[in-house]
Amino acid sequence: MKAFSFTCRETPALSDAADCATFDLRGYIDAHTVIEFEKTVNSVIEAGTHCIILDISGLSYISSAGIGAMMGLTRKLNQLSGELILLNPTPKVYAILDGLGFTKIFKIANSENEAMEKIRSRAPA
Amino acid sequence: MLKPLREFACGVAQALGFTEQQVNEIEICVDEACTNAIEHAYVKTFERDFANNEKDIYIEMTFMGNGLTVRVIDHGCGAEGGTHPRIRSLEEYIERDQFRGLGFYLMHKYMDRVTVHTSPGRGTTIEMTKFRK
Repeated sequence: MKAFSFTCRETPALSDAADCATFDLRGYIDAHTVIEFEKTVNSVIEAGTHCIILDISGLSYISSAGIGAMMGLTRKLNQLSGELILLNPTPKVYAILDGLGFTKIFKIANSENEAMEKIRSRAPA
Repeated sequence: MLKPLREFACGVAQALGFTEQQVNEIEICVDEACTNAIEHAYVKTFERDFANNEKDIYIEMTFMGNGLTVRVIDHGCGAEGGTHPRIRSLEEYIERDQFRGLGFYLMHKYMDRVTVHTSPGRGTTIEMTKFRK
């Protein structure tokens, strides 16, 4: 299995909101693979997509490098009146985030509907 | 490079009977300590100062008195002041311009004991102990 891979898709139920995309992440994010992760998501943000859903149900592991990258993306998107949602974390990844207090900082959803609700209810620009 | 190290640490912790959650915590702490060594140990040194195999990072794991101690040792540049700067709280981390420096915070959070031995030019040893529940 590849260390880290992803696919990016338009978020169908939000097709009225042209600036939303979902990334399906697979593998792990550590200090090595985080570079590809950040580069990819940042390129989508720079192209004008400001609401990002990261489906991390296929993510087996995340280190502080990955958490830091997600924090950076959260800050950047908030400044653009956008949103970053983490969708369906595995129990292992959730436990790591929760143990450090990040479940209170990141917006986490357990279904696509919940993720979209969080995006719809975000603070207006 | 990090994945085999994580797998090795997990394998040892599992074999010693640590819980699944503890194994996951040991895994990430070993990753963070090794990442720290990879990113910082040899950056201030010149190639000519080292023979071919002198940029190695050593990992020692010992189990004694119900506690697993992991030592991540490098012979790199070391740090001033006998320790590494680290954040003390999540609030401090959030206020940073760049989201770095979480590694030591994480190690202190998930391990029962963390000590760092470092001095300029003499390398760094991160020693972490976790006790079995």
